[in-house]
Amino acid sequence: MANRRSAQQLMDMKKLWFGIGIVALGFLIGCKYDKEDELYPVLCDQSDITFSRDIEPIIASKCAVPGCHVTGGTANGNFEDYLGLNAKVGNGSVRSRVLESRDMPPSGSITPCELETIQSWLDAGAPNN
Amino acid sequence: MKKLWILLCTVLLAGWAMGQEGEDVKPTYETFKDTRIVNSHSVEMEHVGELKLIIGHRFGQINRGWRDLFGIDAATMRWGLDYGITDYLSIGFGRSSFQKNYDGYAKVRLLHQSSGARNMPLSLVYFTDVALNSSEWADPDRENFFSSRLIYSHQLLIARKVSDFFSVQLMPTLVHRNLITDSEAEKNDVYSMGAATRFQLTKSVAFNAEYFYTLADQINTDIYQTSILSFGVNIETNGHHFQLHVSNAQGMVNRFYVAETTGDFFNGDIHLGFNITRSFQIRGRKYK
Repeated sequence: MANRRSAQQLMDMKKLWFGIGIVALGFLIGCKYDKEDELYPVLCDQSDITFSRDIEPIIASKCAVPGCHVTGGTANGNFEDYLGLNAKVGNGSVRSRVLESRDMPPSGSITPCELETIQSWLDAGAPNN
Repeated sequence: MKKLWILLCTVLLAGWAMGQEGEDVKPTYETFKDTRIVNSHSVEMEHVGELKLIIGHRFGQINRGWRDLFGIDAATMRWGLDYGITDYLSIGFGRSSFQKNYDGYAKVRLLHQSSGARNMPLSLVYFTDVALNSSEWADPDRENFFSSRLIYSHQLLIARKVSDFFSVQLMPTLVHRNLITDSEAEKNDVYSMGAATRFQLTKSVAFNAEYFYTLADQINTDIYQTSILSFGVNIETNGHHFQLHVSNAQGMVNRFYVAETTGDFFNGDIHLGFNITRSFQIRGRKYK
Protein backbone atom coordinates (compact mmCIF):
# COMPACT_ATOMS: atom_id res chain seq x y z
CA MET A 1 0.00 0.00 0.00
CA ALA A 2 2.77 2.35 1.01
CA ASN A 3 4.75 1.42 -2.11
CA ARG A 4 1.76 1.93 -4.33
CA ARG A 5 1.13 5.35 -2.82
CA SER A 6 4.71 6.43 -3.26
CA ALA A 7 4.66 5.24 -6.90
CA GLN A 8 1.51 7.26 -7.43
CA GLN A 9 3.15 10.26 -5.79
CA LEU A 10 6.17 9.82 -8.06
CA MET A 11 3.89 9.82 -11.09
CA ASP A 12 2.12 12.92 -9.78
CA MET A 13 5.49 14.56 -9.27
CA LYS A 14 6.42 13.91 -12.92
CA LYS A 15 3.18 15.48 -14.07
CA LEU A 16 3.73 18.38 -11.74
CA TRP A 17 7.18 18.98 -13.17
CA PHE A 18 5.70 18.86 -16.67
CA GLY A 19 3.26 21.56 -15.60
CA ILE A 20 5.96 23.59 -13.92
CA GLY A 21 7.89 23.36 -17.21
CA ILE A 22 4.93 24.92 -19.04
CA VAL A 23 4.75 27.70 -16.47
CA ALA A 24 8.54 28.19 -16.73
CA LEU A 25 8.20 28.51 -20.49
CA GLY A 26 5.76 31.35 -19.94
CA PHE A 27 8.23 33.02 -17.61
CA LEU A 28 11.18 32.62 -19.91
CA ILE A 29 9.50 33.98 -23.03
CA GLY A 30 10.95 37.45 -23.19
CA CYS A 31 8.75 40.33 -22.21
CA LYS A 32 9.00 43.45 -24.33
CA TYR A 33 8.49 47.02 -23.26
CA ASP A 34 7.47 48.57 -26.59
CA LYS A 35 5.66 51.89 -26.86
CA GLU A 36 3.67 52.55 -30.00
CA ASP A 37 4.31 56.31 -30.01
CA GLU A 38 8.07 55.69 -29.80
CA LEU A 39 8.17 52.65 -32.09
CA TYR A 40 6.08 54.28 -34.82
CA PRO A 41 6.49 58.04 -34.48
CA VAL A 42 3.96 59.56 -36.87
CA LEU A 43 2.67 63.06 -37.26
CA CYS A 44 -1.05 62.84 -36.66
CA ASP A 45 -2.26 65.87 -38.57
CA GLN A 46 -5.55 67.08 -37.11
CA SER A 47 -5.91 70.23 -39.18
CA ASP A 48 -8.67 70.65 -41.78
CA ILE A 49 -10.17 67.22 -41.34
CA THR A 50 -12.67 66.38 -44.05
CA PHE A 51 -15.09 63.50 -44.38
CA SER A 52 -14.03 62.51 -47.88
CA ARG A 53 -10.26 62.66 -47.33
CA ASP A 54 -9.85 61.56 -43.70
CA ILE A 55 -12.96 59.82 -42.35
CA GLU A 56 -14.28 57.86 -45.33
CA PRO A 57 -11.08 55.79 -45.79
CA ILE A 58 -11.12 54.82 -42.09
CA ILE A 59 -14.79 53.84 -42.24
CA ALA A 60 -14.26 51.93 -45.50
CA SER A 61 -11.35 49.89 -44.15
CA LYS A 62 -12.53 49.34 -40.55
CA CYS A 63 -16.34 49.46 -40.50
CA ALA A 64 -17.92 49.15 -43.97
CA VAL A 65 -16.22 45.83 -44.59
CA PRO A 66 -17.94 42.73 -46.02
CA GLY A 67 -20.41 41.25 -43.55
CA CYS A 68 -20.46 44.28 -41.24
CA HIS A 69 -21.75 47.83 -41.84
CA VAL A 70 -22.64 47.26 -45.50
CA THR A 71 -25.73 46.27 -47.46
CA GLY A 72 -26.56 42.73 -46.38
CA GLY A 73 -24.15 42.92 -43.44
CA THR A 74 -25.09 41.75 -39.97
CA ALA A 75 -24.10 44.97 -38.18
CA ASN A 76 -26.62 47.59 -37.18
CA GLY A 77 -26.38 50.46 -39.71
CA ASN A 78 -25.02 50.84 -43.22
CA PHE A 79 -21.87 52.98 -43.39
CA GLU A 80 -21.32 52.87 -47.13
CA ASP A 81 -22.27 56.52 -47.42
CA TYR A 82 -22.37 59.63 -45.27
CA LEU A 83 -26.13 59.44 -44.60
CA GLY A 84 -25.93 55.96 -43.10
CA LEU A 85 -23.00 56.88 -40.91
CA ASN A 86 -24.55 60.19 -39.88
CA ALA A 87 -27.61 58.38 -38.50
CA LYS A 88 -25.33 56.64 -35.99
CA VAL A 89 -23.40 59.84 -35.31
CA GLY A 90 -26.71 61.54 -34.52
CA ASN A 91 -27.80 58.98 -31.92
CA GLY A 92 -24.38 58.98 -30.27
CA SER A 93 -23.48 55.40 -31.19
CA VAL A 94 -20.27 56.23 -33.05
CA ARG A 95 -18.83 58.25 -30.17
CA SER A 96 -20.03 55.79 -27.55
CA ARG A 97 -18.89 52.57 -29.23
CA VAL A 98 -15.70 53.73 -30.99
CA LEU A 99 -14.29 56.35 -28.63
CA GLU A 100 -15.72 55.50 -25.20
CA SER A 101 -16.47 51.80 -24.74
CA ARG A 102 -14.00 50.91 -27.50
CA ASP A 103 -15.82 47.77 -28.52
CA MET A 104 -16.01 48.92 -32.15
CA PRO A 105 -14.50 47.85 -34.41
CA PRO A 106 -14.71 44.50 -32.60
CA SER A 107 -11.30 43.46 -33.91
CA GLY A 108 -9.83 46.45 -32.04
CA SER A 109 -7.61 47.17 -35.02
CA ILE A 110 -7.77 50.94 -35.18
CA THR A 111 -4.77 53.19 -34.68
CA PRO A 112 -4.58 55.97 -32.06
CA CYS A 113 -4.26 58.52 -34.87
CA GLU A 114 -7.44 57.21 -36.53
CA LEU A 115 -9.28 57.50 -33.21
CA GLU A 116 -8.02 61.06 -32.79
CA THR A 117 -9.16 61.89 -36.32
CA ILE A 118 -12.66 60.53 -35.68
CA GLN A 119 -12.84 62.47 -32.41
CA SER A 120 -11.83 65.72 -34.13
CA TRP A 121 -14.40 65.17 -36.86
CA LEU A 122 -17.18 64.46 -34.35
CA ASP A 123 -16.16 67.48 -32.25
CA ALA A 124 -16.43 69.62 -35.39
CA GLY A 125 -20.05 68.47 -35.84
CA ALA A 126 -19.38 65.57 -38.24
CA PRO A 127 -19.59 67.67 -41.44
CA ASN A 128 -20.09 66.11 -44.89
CA ASN A 129 -17.20 67.90 -46.57
CA MET B 1 16.87 36.72 -12.12
CA LYS B 2 13.83 37.85 -10.15
CA LYS B 3 11.66 35.64 -12.34
CA LEU B 4 13.91 32.65 -11.67
CA TRP B 5 13.59 33.21 -7.92
CA ILE B 6 9.80 33.34 -8.22
CA LEU B 7 9.87 30.16 -10.30
CA LEU B 8 12.14 28.39 -7.81
CA CYS B 9 9.89 29.36 -4.91
CA THR B 10 6.85 28.13 -6.90
CA VAL B 11 8.50 24.75 -7.51
CA LEU B 12 9.55 24.35 -3.89
CA LEU B 13 6.17 25.36 -2.51
CA ALA B 14 4.34 23.10 -4.96
CA GLY B 15 6.56 20.15 -4.11
CA TRP B 16 6.11 20.80 -0.41
CA ALA B 17 2.34 21.11 -0.77
CA MET B 18 2.20 17.76 -2.61
CA GLY B 19 3.90 15.96 0.18
CA GLN B 20 1.64 17.42 2.83
CA GLU B 21 -1.63 15.65 2.24
CA GLY B 22 -1.49 12.44 4.20
CA GLU B 23 -4.42 10.43 5.51
CA ASP B 24 -4.72 12.49 8.69
CA VAL B 25 -4.94 15.78 6.89
CA LYS B 26 -8.44 17.06 6.09
CA PRO B 27 -8.25 19.36 3.06
CA THR B 28 -10.90 22.06 2.71
CA TYR B 29 -13.05 21.69 -0.39
CA GLU B 30 -15.39 24.06 -2.21
CA THR B 31 -13.92 27.33 -1.03
CA PHE B 32 -15.70 28.58 -4.13
CA LYS B 33 -18.25 26.59 -6.06
CA ASP B 34 -16.50 26.83 -9.41
CA THR B 35 -13.10 27.58 -10.87
CA ARG B 36 -14.40 31.03 -11.90
CA ILE B 37 -15.86 33.62 -9.53
CA VAL B 38 -17.16 36.10 -12.11
CA ASN B 39 -14.31 36.95 -14.46
CA SER B 40 -11.40 35.88 -12.30
CA HIS B 41 -10.30 32.41 -11.35
CA SER B 42 -10.91 31.03 -7.87
CA VAL B 43 -8.56 28.75 -5.92
CA GLU B 44 -10.62 25.78 -7.09
CA MET B 45 -8.79 23.46 -9.48
CA GLU B 46 -9.94 20.91 -12.02
CA HIS B 47 -9.64 17.38 -10.66
CA VAL B 48 -7.11 15.10 -12.29
CA GLY B 49 -8.44 13.99 -15.69
CA GLU B 50 -11.36 16.43 -15.62
CA LEU B 51 -12.07 18.34 -18.82
CA LYS B 52 -14.31 21.35 -18.47
CA LEU B 53 -16.05 23.20 -21.26
CA ILE B 54 -16.83 26.83 -20.45
CA ILE B 55 -19.03 29.06 -22.56
CA GLY B 56 -19.15 32.69 -21.45
CA HIS B 57 -21.20 35.54 -22.88
CA ARG B 58 -20.97 39.24 -22.07
CA PHE B 59 -23.52 41.59 -23.52
CA GLY B 60 -23.19 45.30 -24.25
CA GLN B 61 -23.85 48.04 -21.72
CA ILE B 62 -27.41 47.97 -20.39
CA ASN B 63 -27.62 51.77 -20.51
CA ARG B 64 -27.65 51.64 -24.32
CA GLY B 65 -31.40 51.49 -24.09
CA TRP B 66 -34.22 49.51 -25.61
CA ARG B 67 -33.11 49.93 -29.24
CA ASP B 68 -30.08 47.73 -28.50
CA LEU B 69 -32.24 45.65 -26.14
CA PHE B 70 -30.20 46.92 -23.20
CA GLY B 71 -26.94 45.65 -24.64
CA ILE B 72 -28.12 42.23 -25.83
CA ASP B 73 -27.36 43.23 -29.45
CA ALA B 74 -23.66 43.77 -28.66
CA ALA B 75 -22.70 40.36 -27.31
CA THR B 76 -19.19 38.98 -27.11
CA MET B 77 -18.38 35.42 -26.17
CA ARG B 78 -15.55 33.21 -25.01
CA TRP B 79 -15.40 29.45 -25.20
CA GLY B 80 -12.72 27.54 -23.39
CA LEU B 81 -11.49 24.15 -22.30
CA ASP B 82 -9.85 23.56 -18.91
CA TYR B 83 -8.09 20.35 -17.95
CA GLY B 84 -6.70 18.96 -14.70
CA ILE B 85 -3.30 17.35 -15.28
CA THR B 86 -3.07 16.66 -11.55
CA ASP B 87 -5.12 17.89 -8.62
CA TYR B 88 -2.37 20.50 -8.25
CA LEU B 89 -2.05 21.66 -11.82
CA SER B 90 -4.65 22.79 -14.34
CA ILE B 91 -4.20 24.18 -17.79
CA GLY B 92 -6.68 25.82 -20.11
CA PHE B 93 -7.25 27.34 -23.50
CA GLY B 94 -9.89 29.72 -24.78
CA ARG B 95 -10.92 32.02 -27.53
CA SER B 96 -12.79 35.31 -27.19
CA SER B 97 -14.65 36.95 -30.05
CA PHE B 98 -13.55 40.39 -28.78
CA GLN B 99 -10.29 41.29 -30.53
CA LYS B 100 -10.25 37.66 -31.76
CA ASN B 101 -8.28 36.88 -28.64
CA TYR B 102 -6.76 33.46 -27.86
CA ASP B 103 -5.64 32.70 -24.33
CA GLY B 104 -3.88 29.87 -22.56
CA TYR B 105 -3.27 29.48 -18.85
CA ALA B 106 -1.60 27.35 -16.20
CA LYS B 107 -2.66 27.23 -12.58
CA VAL B 108 -0.63 25.60 -9.80
CA ARG B 109 -1.87 24.94 -6.29
CA LEU B 110 0.86 25.85 -3.81
CA LEU B 111 -0.98 25.55 -0.50
CA HIS B 112 -4.27 23.86 0.35
CA GLN B 113 -6.32 25.00 3.32
CA SER B 114 -6.62 22.06 5.69
CA SER B 115 -7.19 20.94 9.25
CA GLY B 116 -6.26 17.82 11.19
CA ALA B 117 -2.61 16.74 11.22
CA ARG B 118 -1.68 19.83 9.24
CA ASN B 119 -3.47 23.04 10.04
CA MET B 120 -3.20 25.35 7.03
CA PRO B 121 -5.35 28.48 7.29
CA LEU B 122 -5.19 29.47 3.60
CA SER B 123 -5.20 28.12 0.09
CA LEU B 124 -2.65 29.62 -2.27
CA VAL B 125 -2.71 29.19 -6.06
CA TYR B 126 -0.41 30.69 -8.68
CA PHE B 127 -2.10 31.56 -11.96
CA THR B 128 -0.45 32.70 -15.19
CA ASP B 129 -1.85 33.23 -18.66
CA VAL B 130 -0.87 34.55 -22.04
CA ALA B 131 -3.32 36.30 -24.36
CA LEU B 132 -2.86 36.67 -28.10
CA ASN B 133 -4.70 39.34 -30.09
CA SER B 134 -5.16 37.77 -33.51
CA SER B 135 -7.03 40.63 -35.16
CA GLU B 136 -5.68 42.34 -38.24
CA TRP B 137 -2.88 44.86 -37.70
CA ALA B 138 -4.25 48.35 -37.21
CA ASP B 139 -1.69 49.56 -39.75
CA PRO B 140 -0.46 46.68 -41.93
CA ASP B 141 1.96 48.94 -43.82
CA ARG B 142 4.30 49.55 -40.91
CA GLU B 143 6.71 46.96 -39.47
CA ASN B 144 4.65 44.93 -37.02
CA PHE B 145 6.02 42.41 -34.52
CA PHE B 146 4.40 39.19 -33.33
CA SER B 147 5.38 40.06 -29.75
CA SER B 148 3.05 43.08 -29.96
CA ARG B 149 0.12 40.66 -30.02
CA LEU B 150 1.02 39.09 -26.66
CA ILE B 151 -0.09 40.09 -23.17
CA TYR B 152 0.86 38.11 -20.08
CA SER B 153 -0.55 38.04 -16.59
CA HIS B 154 0.61 36.59 -13.29
CA GLN B 155 -1.65 36.29 -10.29
CA LEU B 156 -1.63 34.88 -6.79
CA LEU B 157 -4.97 33.61 -5.51
CA ILE B 158 -5.02 33.64 -1.70
CA ALA B 159 -8.26 32.31 -0.24
CA ARG B 160 -9.84 31.13 2.97
CA LYS B 161 -13.08 29.27 3.40
CA VAL B 162 -14.26 30.85 6.63
CA SER B 163 -17.36 28.68 6.89
CA ASP B 164 -19.63 26.63 4.64
CA PHE B 165 -21.46 29.87 3.90
CA PHE B 166 -18.64 32.35 3.47
CA SER B 167 -15.26 32.50 1.67
CA VAL B 168 -12.88 35.32 0.79
CA GLN B 169 -10.07 35.61 -1.75
CA LEU B 170 -7.34 38.16 -2.46
CA MET B 171 -5.75 38.41 -5.93
CA PRO B 172 -2.59 40.48 -6.37
CA THR B 173 -2.20 40.69 -10.14
CA LEU B 174 0.37 41.77 -12.71
CA VAL B 175 -0.60 42.27 -16.35
CA HIS B 176 2.24 42.85 -18.80
CA ARG B 177 1.51 44.37 -22.20
CA ASN B 178 4.34 43.99 -24.71
CA LEU B 179 3.09 47.01 -26.63
CA ILE B 180 1.28 50.04 -25.25
CA THR B 181 -0.16 52.97 -27.15
CA ASP B 182 0.75 56.07 -25.18
CA SER B 183 4.05 56.06 -23.29
CA GLU B 184 3.06 59.11 -21.22
CA ALA B 185 -0.36 57.90 -20.12
CA GLU B 186 0.24 54.21 -19.41
CA LYS B 187 2.82 51.59 -18.52
CA ASN B 188 3.61 48.15 -19.90
CA ASP B 189 3.25 46.59 -16.44
CA VAL B 190 -0.09 47.02 -14.72
CA TYR B 191 -0.36 46.12 -11.03
CA SER B 192 -3.79 45.48 -9.62
CA MET B 193 -5.28 44.11 -6.41
CA GLY B 194 -8.42 42.04 -6.51
CA ALA B 195 -10.74 40.77 -3.80
CA ALA B 196 -13.65 38.37 -4.03
CA THR B 197 -16.15 36.72 -1.78
CA ARG B 198 -18.81 33.99 -1.79
CA PHE B 199 -21.97 33.88 0.28
CA GLN B 200 -23.79 30.57 0.11
CA LEU B 201 -27.50 31.29 -0.08
CA THR B 202 -28.90 27.78 -0.44
CA LYS B 203 -27.33 24.38 -1.01
CA SER B 204 -27.00 25.02 -4.75
CA VAL B 205 -27.05 28.83 -5.04
CA ALA B 206 -24.20 31.14 -4.06
CA PHE B 207 -23.76 34.89 -4.36
CA ASN B 208 -20.33 36.00 -5.59
CA ALA B 209 -18.76 39.45 -5.68
CA GLU B 210 -15.45 40.54 -7.15
CA TYR B 211 -13.56 43.83 -7.18
CA PHE B 212 -10.26 44.90 -8.75
CA TYR B 213 -8.46 48.16 -8.20
CA THR B 214 -5.74 49.13 -10.66
CA LEU B 215 -3.28 51.91 -9.90
CA ALA B 216 -4.22 54.98 -11.90
CA ASP B 217 -0.78 55.85 -13.27
CA GLN B 218 -0.49 52.52 -15.10
CA ILE B 219 -3.45 52.72 -17.47
CA ASN B 220 -4.82 55.52 -19.61
CA THR B 221 -7.57 56.77 -17.30
CA ASP B 222 -9.04 58.95 -20.06
CA ILE B 223 -10.26 55.67 -21.53
CA TYR B 224 -9.98 52.89 -18.96
CA GLN B 225 -11.38 52.43 -15.45
CA THR B 226 -9.35 51.74 -12.33
CA SER B 227 -12.26 50.03 -10.53
CA ILE B 228 -13.80 46.84 -11.83
CA LEU B 229 -16.82 45.65 -9.89
CA SER B 230 -18.80 42.49 -10.53
CA PHE B 231 -21.65 40.64 -8.81
CA GLY B 232 -22.89 37.21 -9.69
CA VAL B 233 -25.01 34.25 -8.77
CA ASN B 234 -23.62 30.72 -9.06
CA ILE B 235 -26.22 28.01 -9.59
CA GLU B 236 -24.96 24.46 -9.27
CA THR B 237 -26.62 21.45 -10.85
CA ASN B 238 -25.33 17.95 -11.40
CA GLY B 239 -22.32 18.39 -13.71
CA HIS B 240 -23.18 21.98 -14.67
CA HIS B 241 -22.56 25.42 -13.24
CA PHE B 242 -24.56 28.43 -14.34
CA GLN B 243 -23.19 31.82 -13.40
CA LEU B 244 -25.23 34.93 -14.06
CA HIS B 245 -23.62 38.28 -13.37
CA VAL B 246 -23.36 42.00 -13.86
CA SER B 247 -20.04 43.80 -14.28
CA ASN B 248 -18.57 46.96 -15.74
CA ALA B 249 -16.01 44.73 -17.50
CA GLN B 250 -16.84 43.04 -20.77
CA GLY B 251 -13.69 40.95 -21.23
CA MET B 252 -13.29 37.50 -19.73
CA VAL B 253 -9.50 37.19 -19.48
CA ASN B 254 -7.15 39.09 -17.19
CA ARG B 255 -5.82 41.45 -19.84
CA PHE B 256 -9.31 42.73 -20.65
CA TYR B 257 -10.93 43.13 -17.28
CA VAL B 258 -7.91 44.29 -15.29
CA ALA B 259 -6.35 46.69 -17.79
CA GLU B 260 -8.96 47.45 -20.46
CA THR B 261 -12.31 48.03 -18.77
CA THR B 262 -13.96 51.10 -20.29
CA GLY B 263 -17.31 51.28 -18.48
CA ASP B 264 -18.03 52.97 -15.15
CA PHE B 265 -20.25 50.73 -12.99
CA PHE B 266 -21.88 53.66 -11.19
CA ASN B 267 -22.56 55.43 -14.48
CA GLY B 268 -24.70 52.49 -15.56
CA ASP B 269 -22.10 51.05 -17.94
CA ILE B 270 -22.99 47.55 -16.78
CA HIS B 271 -22.76 44.37 -18.80
CA LEU B 272 -25.01 41.41 -18.22
CA GLY B 273 -23.24 38.10 -18.67
CA PHE B 274 -23.26 34.41 -17.96
CA ASN B 275 -20.92 31.44 -17.82
CA ILE B 276 -22.07 27.88 -18.39
CA THR B 277 -19.72 25.04 -17.58
CA ARG B 278 -19.94 21.31 -18.21
CA SER B 279 -17.41 18.88 -16.80
CA PHE B 280 -16.37 15.58 -18.36
CA GLN B 281 -14.25 13.01 -16.54
CA ILE B 282 -12.04 11.69 -19.31
CA ARG B 283 -9.37 10.02 -17.19
CA GLY B 284 -8.96 8.72 -13.64
CA ARG B 285 -11.63 8.28 -11.03
CA LYS B 286 -14.98 9.92 -11.22
CA TYR B 287 -15.61 12.88 -8.94
CA LYS B 288 -19.04 14.01 -8.03
